[in-house]
Amino acid sequence: MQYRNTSSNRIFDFFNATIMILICVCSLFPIVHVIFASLSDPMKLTAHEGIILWPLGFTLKGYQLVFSNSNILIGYMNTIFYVVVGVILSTFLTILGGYVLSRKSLLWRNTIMFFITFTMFFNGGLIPFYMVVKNLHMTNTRFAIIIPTAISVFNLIIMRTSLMKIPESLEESAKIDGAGHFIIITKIVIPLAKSTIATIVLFYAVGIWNSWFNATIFLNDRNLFPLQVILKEILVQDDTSAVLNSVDAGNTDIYRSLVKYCTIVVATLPVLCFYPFVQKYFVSGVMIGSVKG
Amino acid sequence: MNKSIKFLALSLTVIISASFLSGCKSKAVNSTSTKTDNKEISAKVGNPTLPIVSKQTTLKVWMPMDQDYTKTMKNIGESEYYKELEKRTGVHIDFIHPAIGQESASLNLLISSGDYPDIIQTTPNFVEYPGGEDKAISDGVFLKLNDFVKKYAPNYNELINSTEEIRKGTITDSGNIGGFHQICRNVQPAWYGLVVRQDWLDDLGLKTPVTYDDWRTMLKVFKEKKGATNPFMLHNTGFEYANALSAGYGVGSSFYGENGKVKFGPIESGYKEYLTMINEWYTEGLIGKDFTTNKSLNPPINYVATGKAGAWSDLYVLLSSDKQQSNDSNYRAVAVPAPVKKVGDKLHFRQTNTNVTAGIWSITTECKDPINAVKWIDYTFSPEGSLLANYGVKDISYKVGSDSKPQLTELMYKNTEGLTLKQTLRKYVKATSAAFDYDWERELVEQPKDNAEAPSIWGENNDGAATLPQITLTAEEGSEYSAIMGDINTYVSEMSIKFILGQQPLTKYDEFVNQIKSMNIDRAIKIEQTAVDRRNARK
Amino acid sequence: MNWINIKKDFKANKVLYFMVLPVVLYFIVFSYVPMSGIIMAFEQYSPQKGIFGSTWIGVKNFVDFFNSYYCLRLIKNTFLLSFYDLIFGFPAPIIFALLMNEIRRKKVKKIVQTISYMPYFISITVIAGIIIDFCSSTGAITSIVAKFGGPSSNLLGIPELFRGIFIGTNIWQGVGFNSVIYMAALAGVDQELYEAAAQDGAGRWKQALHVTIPGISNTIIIMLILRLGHLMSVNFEKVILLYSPVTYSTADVISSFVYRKGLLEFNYGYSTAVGLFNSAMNFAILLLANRISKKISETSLF
Repeated sequence: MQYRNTSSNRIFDFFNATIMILICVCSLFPIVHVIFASLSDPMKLTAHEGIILWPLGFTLKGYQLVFSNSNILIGYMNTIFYVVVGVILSTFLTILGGYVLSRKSLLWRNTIMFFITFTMFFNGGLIPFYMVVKNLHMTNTRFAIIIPTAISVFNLIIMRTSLMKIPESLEESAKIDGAGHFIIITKIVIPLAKSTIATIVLFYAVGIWNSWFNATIFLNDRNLFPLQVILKEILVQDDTSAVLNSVDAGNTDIYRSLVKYCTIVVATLPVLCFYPFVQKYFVSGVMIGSVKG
Repeated sequence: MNKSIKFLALSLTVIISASFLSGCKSKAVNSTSTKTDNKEISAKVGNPTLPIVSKQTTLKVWMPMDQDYTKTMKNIGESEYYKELEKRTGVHIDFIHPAIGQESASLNLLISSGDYPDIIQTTPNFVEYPGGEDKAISDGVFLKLNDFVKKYAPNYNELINSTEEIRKGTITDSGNIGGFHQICRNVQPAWYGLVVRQDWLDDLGLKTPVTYDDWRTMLKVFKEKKGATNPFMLHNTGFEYANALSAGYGVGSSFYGENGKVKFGPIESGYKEYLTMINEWYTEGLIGKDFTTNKSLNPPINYVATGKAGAWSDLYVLLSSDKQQSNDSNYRAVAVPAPVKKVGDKLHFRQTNTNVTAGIWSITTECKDPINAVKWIDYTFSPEGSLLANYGVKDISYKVGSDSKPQLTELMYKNTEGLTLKQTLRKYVKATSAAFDYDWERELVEQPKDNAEAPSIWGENNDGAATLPQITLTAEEGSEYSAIMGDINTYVSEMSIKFILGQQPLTKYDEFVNQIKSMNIDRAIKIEQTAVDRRNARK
Repeated sequence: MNWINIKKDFKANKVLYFMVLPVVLYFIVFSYVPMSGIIMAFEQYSPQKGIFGSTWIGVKNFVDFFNSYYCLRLIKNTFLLSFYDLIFGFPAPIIFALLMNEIRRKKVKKIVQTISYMPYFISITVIAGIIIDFCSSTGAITSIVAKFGGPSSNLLGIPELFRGIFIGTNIWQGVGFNSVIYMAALAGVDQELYEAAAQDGAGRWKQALHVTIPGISNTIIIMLILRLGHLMSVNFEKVILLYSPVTYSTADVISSFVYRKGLLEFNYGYSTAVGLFNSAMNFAILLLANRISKKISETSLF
């Protein structure tokens, strides 16, 4: 962006800055609320209404309870594993698919795109999906978390759209120089599409980090559960009045609310930190011009 | 030591007299059995010889867990109770647990995949076999257990034949035994009901409210003198659970029974009277504006603990713990009976329990060793097995009081690891679920006075007779019913709230009733009635 | 497409087809094979009998849905909620991305990006709790609204406000995260074009109009098409957490009604049928959007 420092520009900058500050404040307060709630005294937590802008009393008991819960530590390890492996596999497949489907000369291109997009809308539901995974002998293994959801149609479309923007002349000149597809992908496509690849890495990472449903269906062994399943179990119990079957001795756990907040912090904090790593790839317009020259 | 025994004796007396007053129909357990032919019992009633199997046996049991289990274990097999049970019976159990919150989906997947474990636990309205027990048997998934029970489960057999109520509750409409239920010899009194700030009543010189007028006066004073913004924290549907508030008008929010006939509350005249009153209370500010957010059965703690509410509905075991979360040191909540229109009226609506809970342990057709599975389950109904299930191991989780009755030890209720009573129970004894001769009185241990007295207060003058029994609908009835009721339920809940808030004038009430009738409520009532009659006709 | 062309194409692009094979296989195995489950919409599904053994009831499930007293209202609510979300919620992240792009200091830009993207990750139950609290009769938002002459009672009890609250909070929670994709697209705009425009005397506004927006237009169009493909779907979890019988008239959508009905009876067939109806509508809209886009711009999905 290039422009002069005129007064109208300065006014705009001021206006922009105000909006940004507003947005940042609005975005920060729920985070602050959750973090401070997780450090507050549980009694005071119940009595308090409204947003929490500083800890009410102070206690680390909630975190103590969370970290002493071996379920959570195991869940953490599992989720990290699923994210790392899953992102690598998914990104690989998505770049491959995106590249192929962005080649204008491909005859079946649109047909395949239709074929794939169709699956975003129509699916047979849980039971046949489960049967397929079961018949592949993946149930109750880590594969069940990584493979059945390896490719997201949405991400594939994003990848393809951005790869279509790469001018064909680059590809042509590379081909003339004798480059095969592999070289084109690694030397031209990936460097130019850095920001999009970073985006889909982020999307896959976030998606896998947040996923829990498939784990609850395919896994029985709690040692394989990802973190979000543990979190969901804690939150679900809080919301549903479920099976009040003689209410044996009721629910007198006063730490329940506190632990809920602490679990949320523990389960969400890492993903909040993904973004800065990905940001550095959002560098503007890489040397397309220079390559042309 | 002495104090707790006296207390236990006192509460037992209270509970027993409450049960008597609430019209509990349980006769003595050993009355003549009704229809079964005792000749074929090849095992004897009483404690079997241990171990019950001749070689190492393993059974797979599919059973939902909950948060109170996962606090201390990843698999129910790790609990002290099941370890001890295995030691005694020689049967090893492999538990399979669905993820919490996904139980129903998991069960359906399990059955679809054709890979059944040996025993499955199901509970109607929570996780059930679609179509019910009879369908599960006719589909070839559950075993029909009638003969097995007669031959190999003498203790269970005797128990289910001890009273007609119990017998009817443990068989299906077609007379099949599809699973082992959880049975209480004494019906538990109400564990949920209306609650009021006793300290406020004392402070303001008010007596416990009896009639609706008393309530109105009380709530008004709460609002004016105690600054309660939501004096009565109504549930968001406009009705309290089990209709405690509308009991005085003789109606419930949905289906209920009156002299053997099934009725639907919204089309009865009492419903209009109730809504009129609640609407008046709302306009006078006696019911706060925030009640529409009060969605769960748990008490709305941020209103209760902060003095914004003076009356609400609660679980008897939580009365004292709510206090812990309040900043008011005088806080005292007590149970109050449901209000009546005029003194002397009898009530029929409250939270009721039955001898037989609907959850069952069923044995699947894939079980290779059903006889031993049945014998294993029956052990829990033998005197020894029942003691283990209810109280655990002697001197660890229970001790014998001077009245020769077992009593939970301090390890259970004064746990040092920060576990609640419910969580320690899960660890040491059998939790309420199915296949269990359940002694609910074990939970009374160390309950504060206000908690312990609550059930009998709620049962005072209120026999809960309006509650319909557990029924089963056939698949066709079920889909017809849900097609009709899907719409009617939405309409009723929406309009009821509108009447209460005054958004719809009560002059239009007849239109409301006519609309419900045009949505085919009579057909739904008929379906319910048929199912109730079918159930009552069970032999 | 005649046979000769197909052969020529295959010869030239062998490697490409080979490369895309695992992707296609993935979709066949995990999407198309399970699609047979759609039959459940036409059956009285019994898990023991399985998909191919359950009783065929034809369109009965669909008829049940269309006969429902509330059918029209549910479709209307679903459509309106989604449509308003589209009108307000779709442009918001784009505008936000464009504004962020104007921040000159890189460091500030990064900080704003990171902070704005955070609320997306807070679990919906916590967000719903915050919203309920803020909109209660003594809540923060209610007091602000009251000062401007609005109602002073529980805001979530007013049907007319439901959509506004729902969509407003969607934007609040999602604007940062949803802008990421536009930020990435902006990074792909050729810097040279800006230099050229500046040389031609274009100021900030003109540059945005003639360089930036056209530069990310195909991303915007594709995102719009995809978004239209979800027009008849609403995040039902959030609806269930925020609605109550008072607000059914505007808040009750197809998915929340089906959920409540499903609690009455465990009937997979019905929910599959309604889901199928929903998907069919969505897909039809997508095809329409795609065709229009093809005519107007060069960009389209297929």
